[in-house]
Amino acid sequence: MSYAFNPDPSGLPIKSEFAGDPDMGDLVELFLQELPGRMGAAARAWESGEMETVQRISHQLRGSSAGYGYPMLGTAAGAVEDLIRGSVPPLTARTPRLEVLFRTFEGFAARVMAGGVRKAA
Amino acid sequence: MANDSAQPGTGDETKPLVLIVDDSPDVHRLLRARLNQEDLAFAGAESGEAGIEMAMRLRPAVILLDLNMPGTDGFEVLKRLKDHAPTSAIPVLMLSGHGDQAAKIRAFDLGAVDYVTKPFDFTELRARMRSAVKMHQLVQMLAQRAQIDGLTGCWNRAFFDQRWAEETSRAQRHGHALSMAMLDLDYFKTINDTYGHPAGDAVLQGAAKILARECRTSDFACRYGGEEFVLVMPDTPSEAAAGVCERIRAAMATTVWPRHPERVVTISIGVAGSAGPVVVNAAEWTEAADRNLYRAKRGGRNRVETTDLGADAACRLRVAG
Repeated sequence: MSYAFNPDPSGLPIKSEFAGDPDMGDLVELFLQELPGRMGAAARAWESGEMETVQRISHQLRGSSAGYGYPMLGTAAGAVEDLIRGSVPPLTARTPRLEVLFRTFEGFAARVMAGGVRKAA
Repeated sequence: MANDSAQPGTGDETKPLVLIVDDSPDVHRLLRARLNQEDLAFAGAESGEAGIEMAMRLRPAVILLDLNMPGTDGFEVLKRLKDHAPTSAIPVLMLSGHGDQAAKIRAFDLGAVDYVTKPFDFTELRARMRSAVKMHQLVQMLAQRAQIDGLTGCWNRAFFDQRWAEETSRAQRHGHALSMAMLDLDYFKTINDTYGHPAGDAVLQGAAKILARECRTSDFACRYGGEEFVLVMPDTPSEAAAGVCERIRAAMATTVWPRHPERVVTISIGVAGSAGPVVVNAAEWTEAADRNLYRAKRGGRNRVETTDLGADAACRLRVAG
């Protein structure tokens, strides 16, 4: 796969709520280092229609993003997970509604990555 | 006197061990970082099956268990932990990204003590963790008290029956040395009859203190009944066990009792042990020690009689080839 995660980071960069927390700086940095890889995996799964993988990655980021100081990213991930899991039967293919939510999720991830780890001046 | 150091639920000697079972590495990192001021030790598993295996092996004080995991999910893990006696009393806090009522009810019905939704409020989670750890400690304390003899502070007969079966099984499985001793106070009834039951109780308590003082931390002393005690010595061949018991015998014989300084109290001891695997079962092993106790009594009391079960051809494990 040659796909690279490169959505349009429209909107302001997002800083971690814990950017000034000395106990969390290293963890937030690690999260930001790993986020492109995770979003790349989510995007590849999206392109190939592997909704189970999209759901798993969004589930993980839903649970952890707020812990790193990015609650909005967690909320956006949760919306993707809920639509896939909550549909009856669970979604196994892309839908226009899911696409809106997935692109929103990607947009938040891009803004988080653009925000970096250190506290804004 | 119950000095068995291998209490479950402790990670590094003193800190309660928390097992985190969650498929997300992020959750492991965040929980460890945010709970690090709670004086806890941590272990982690990233799948349900690994979590079950670690829970059974480590016996943690508390388990934080994710509900939604690929493969074996949190409900299945919880059910299996609660169905397995050694892990059934461990408090389990369920972690979930979903707060739906049906899942909460099912988790509580299966035996979870708490249910926490992601994203975590870490201040609240810390308080819930403290509560779960305290619950574990209370359960441990109650369980231990139920296994301790109220008069002497030694482990009681029920504890002995359970642990002795485990020790003989372990020794035979791994070929470890193991010894046990039956100990009986000589002419104990005459102490009660002559000086009264409080004096008899003081002798029993004194004997228990001598046992605790003379045995090693890996040994465990139990009150077998009446004036009879049993001492289990893991990883100890019969010769070394006899040495431990000789120290106990000598300490008893030289103790001066405040209530009756003129009256010496002695103890007779029967030892049965082996440096390697033998084919006798737990009950036969106890009978062998009891026969030696009888020999010690018949031989004049205040003495130690020992049998090396490994040297007895009928008891030695024969390995084909």
